[in-house]
Amino acid sequence: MTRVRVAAVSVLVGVLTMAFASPAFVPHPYEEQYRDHAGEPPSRTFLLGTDDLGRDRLSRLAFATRLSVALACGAAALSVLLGLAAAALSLSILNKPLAVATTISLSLPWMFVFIILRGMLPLNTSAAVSIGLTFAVMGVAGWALPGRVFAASVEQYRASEWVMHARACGMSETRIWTAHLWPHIRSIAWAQFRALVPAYILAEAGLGLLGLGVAEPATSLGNLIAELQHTGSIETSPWVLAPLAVLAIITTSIELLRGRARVLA
Amino acid sequence: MITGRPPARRGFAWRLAGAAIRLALIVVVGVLICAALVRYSPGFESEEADIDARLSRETALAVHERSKTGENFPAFALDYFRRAVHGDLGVSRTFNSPVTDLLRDRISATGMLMVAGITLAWAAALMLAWVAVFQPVMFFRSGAEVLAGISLAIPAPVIAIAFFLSGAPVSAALALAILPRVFGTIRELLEDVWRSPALVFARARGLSRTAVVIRYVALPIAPQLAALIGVSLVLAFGSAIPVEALCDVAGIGQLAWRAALGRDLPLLCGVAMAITFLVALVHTSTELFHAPTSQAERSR
Amino acid sequence: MKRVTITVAAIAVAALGALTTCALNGASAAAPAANHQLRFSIPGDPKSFDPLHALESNTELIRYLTGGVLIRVDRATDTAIPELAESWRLTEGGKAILFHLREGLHFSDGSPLTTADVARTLTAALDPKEGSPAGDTFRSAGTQPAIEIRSPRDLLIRYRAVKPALDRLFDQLAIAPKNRSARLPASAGPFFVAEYNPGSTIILRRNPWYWKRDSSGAHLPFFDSIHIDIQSNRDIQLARFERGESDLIGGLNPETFDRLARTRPGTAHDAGASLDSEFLWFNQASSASVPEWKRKWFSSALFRHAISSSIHREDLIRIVYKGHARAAAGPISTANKFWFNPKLKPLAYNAGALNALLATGFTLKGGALRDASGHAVEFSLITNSGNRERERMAALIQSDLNRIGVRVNIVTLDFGSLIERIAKTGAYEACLLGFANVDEDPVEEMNVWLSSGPHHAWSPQEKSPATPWEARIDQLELAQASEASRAQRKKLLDEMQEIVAAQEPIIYLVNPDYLYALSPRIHGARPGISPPQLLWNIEWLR
Repeated sequence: MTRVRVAAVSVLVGVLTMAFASPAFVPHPYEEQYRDHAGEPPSRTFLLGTDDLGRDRLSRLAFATRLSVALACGAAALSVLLGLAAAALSLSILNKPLAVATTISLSLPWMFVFIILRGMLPLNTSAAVSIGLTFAVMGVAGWALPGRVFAASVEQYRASEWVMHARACGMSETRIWTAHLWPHIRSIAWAQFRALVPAYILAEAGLGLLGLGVAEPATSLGNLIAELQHTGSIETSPWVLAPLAVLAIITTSIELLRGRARVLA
Repeated sequence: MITGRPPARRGFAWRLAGAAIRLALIVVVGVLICAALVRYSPGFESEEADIDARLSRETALAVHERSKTGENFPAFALDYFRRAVHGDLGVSRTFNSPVTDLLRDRISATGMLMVAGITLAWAAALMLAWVAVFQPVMFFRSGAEVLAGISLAIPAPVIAIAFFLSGAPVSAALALAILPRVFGTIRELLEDVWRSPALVFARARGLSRTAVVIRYVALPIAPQLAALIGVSLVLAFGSAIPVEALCDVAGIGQLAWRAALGRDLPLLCGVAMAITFLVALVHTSTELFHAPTSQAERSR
Repeated sequence: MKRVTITVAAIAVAALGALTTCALNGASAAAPAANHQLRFSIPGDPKSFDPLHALESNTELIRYLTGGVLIRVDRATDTAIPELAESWRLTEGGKAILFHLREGLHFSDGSPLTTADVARTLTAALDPKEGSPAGDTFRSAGTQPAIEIRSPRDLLIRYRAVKPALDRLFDQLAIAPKNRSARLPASAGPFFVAEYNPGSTIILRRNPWYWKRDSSGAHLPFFDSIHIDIQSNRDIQLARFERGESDLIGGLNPETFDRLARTRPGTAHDAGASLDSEFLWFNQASSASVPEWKRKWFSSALFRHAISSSIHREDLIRIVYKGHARAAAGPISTANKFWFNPKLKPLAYNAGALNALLATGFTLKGGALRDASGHAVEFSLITNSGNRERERMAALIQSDLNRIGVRVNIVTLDFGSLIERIAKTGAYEACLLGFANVDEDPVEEMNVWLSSGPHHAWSPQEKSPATPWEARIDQLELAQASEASRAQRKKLLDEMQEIVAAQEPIIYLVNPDYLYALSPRIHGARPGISPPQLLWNIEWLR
């Protein structure tokens, strides 16, 4: 088991290091257009080939990876934290209103929230602000799904015999939370986080249709993967699958990182 | 003095009434918020006629007049709910058809797509979670996690188009969107419960594996699984929208996408009503049927 | 052993789930085409089947395939040919037109079609309350023509002033039945709408009362029905065509064209430059929320020339359109052989224009272009999302302008938000968009060039012309709108084109080619350059 985790950590660290350190060793800037080399296959000059505008796919992939992973992790963490807060509040008199808010939040067309956000932002908003706000709003909008799962788990665990036993022994609520509830909720929170990171990476691509997210010449992992919808290019140029492979490696490595106490018989 | 009815049955009737009221309130508030978001978002009052160079200003205004819906939002909201009570959900601008007819004609397509996708996702998630938790061979355990990890990375629209073009069922795209969330949570729940002291004690006492699985695993995690079903429904519908839009499935997801692009207020309200009702129904049912168990447990 | 049993059972459950899924959802194979059925896709639902409310391309196409018109413009030869009208005569120096209808005309439901129906249709189109786009076509300087029914087959329409190209206008007026507001109204064209499944399909069936026959006397159209799928995804449209489930695709994009040329040689065709154009413009409206120093840049012809001349149009053509486009020379496409001013040359890269700008106080230092006040030249460029060609052009233009120190922020917006900004709020700085012309005659573009026009893109609805050259364009446009002689109109419009080329209020980029796919089993197509390019002679296709 430890070998698996070591391998997963190595792969993850390797991929992220290459992404974040790539400006030091990748010769081509991600935004530079080599127009005489548009749509070329991999070569010694362009290791992953060039895109339709002659930009180096490898440097764009590295840029996209570091941007998307960093921001998606932030958004996922925000969603999980808000979900946990909602779960904690669900134990109070706010239980029913929170349940209603969760249901409504899950049913809302968040697309229009993003359209309104785009309408409020000046057109010359800096890329950093635009992309940061996009992921922040995604993080806030995504609280309801994990919150629902956490609330059900919290309610279940609080009604369990061992928590009742702890309460009967005079343990404070805070201590019950930290000693008894959090160890169980933590693993579920981690599972939600792991699922949210790639979901947000992919969802960001859809926001490009609304004028948010990453703008040219920058790119994101979601945008690169969304181009795969035009399947014609996969058959003739399979290297376009590289962004998908990178994301799959990252998500798989994170999955394999989770701890496991012992082999369960 | 002995009362007529057992306390539990009277409590359930009250809870049912409360749940029904909550359901109606959620639907009304949900539709109102959705309508407000659409009404006050940029582009609502715009028509393609506004940039059609062939049209005079008067004709463009006449086009607006014809498609005017919801300009006065409070009046629209009141009128909408008044008519909705009688089953009239308005007429779609995009499709020029009554919204009720559109929803009725398409609900089965989306329903079948979602049922197929959720069934496949849960079957795969249960199998993978079982292997990941109980399989002693590391290769299979890690293999299950690798599969789950890969499924996280593949966007549903890409799979949907690839499947559609190759003739495979597009519900697999939906399943792929739901699988990672369901798998991760089920695995955590299984592991957590398998380590609980009561279960360890039961196993040590020689209780059969079947009894252990049913009584000590399935039942305790049933509420979380019910919540997860609700989550699956939401995820399934969220993924159904791009899948239907891209793959030519005449379902509610396709309606929702076209309505959103066209700012079709009556249609969006109708779709929001359907989604809110479905999600609220699942959540309310979960709370309704779980509550007695909690109370019974708390009273022991 | 028990673990293996459980694992096997789990796999069986999963397999059962998968099989259930397949059974429930099945492969989405389309039914094979019925005999004599034409199949193709359109990207969206028609907004209406009322021929007087055909505003966008999907509705217009259905109107074209089903509507009966008095005169049809032959898209291949650009000449007017008789349809429901057996003959016509322009009289009173071009102010009036006298129609003589064919005998025994009927709508698809069997009801007779007479001059009363023509008069009723035209009257409804001209009614301001109707808000019909056809009305704008037939109005003249705010006045309406007089309609005189002389007999069930003879009709006179008279204007107070000359109406240019009067006969050709009737190509856009489909004669409406009495029940035009019905869900599936009758029609007098080669087909009628038989079925409509919103968001899914439209079925047109041959009109049993259609008047036209071929040389051997056989009733037209040749096809029994047309099956139209509503499918916006271009890849799926292409896959359907490759599988033989669709017979044609109009308006292919360049990537799809190249792919089809590889996989199905002989089915992909490049009809040459179209009437369409791609362009960008700057927001010069005084009411716009644009900073004053930016408005000064945008209002300067030298600035606009510098921007225009810094764009490598040959790269746009080569990289975005894969060679299937031409560099634009002005407001009228080079494909428009009669109306295009041959003195104009295709716009090209020219470093000299930047030098001319630098001589007026602009400076280029440290990779940034600054105006005389020190403001760095930077602006946002909006365009509609989902159009890959436009998004790529925007990226190439951004890079070209970056080389001259101009920073461009590209913002892709959904269409509704884009329209709101350019038509209502004016909250934008520059816009990249395209124009799809439906007629070779540029008379429909008057609303763009008149300074008081609502579509005067860079500064809509001016109370008075903001510049002398806009005043001159107003004079030229109004003069050609009341000129009967085509040759004289051309002289006036030639001068208009020269002014636009000199001032560049709209920076024209490229004229894309019209690319299409046609199955070898379809015969009789004679593609034209006005829409519907492939289907304008639908009754002759077989």
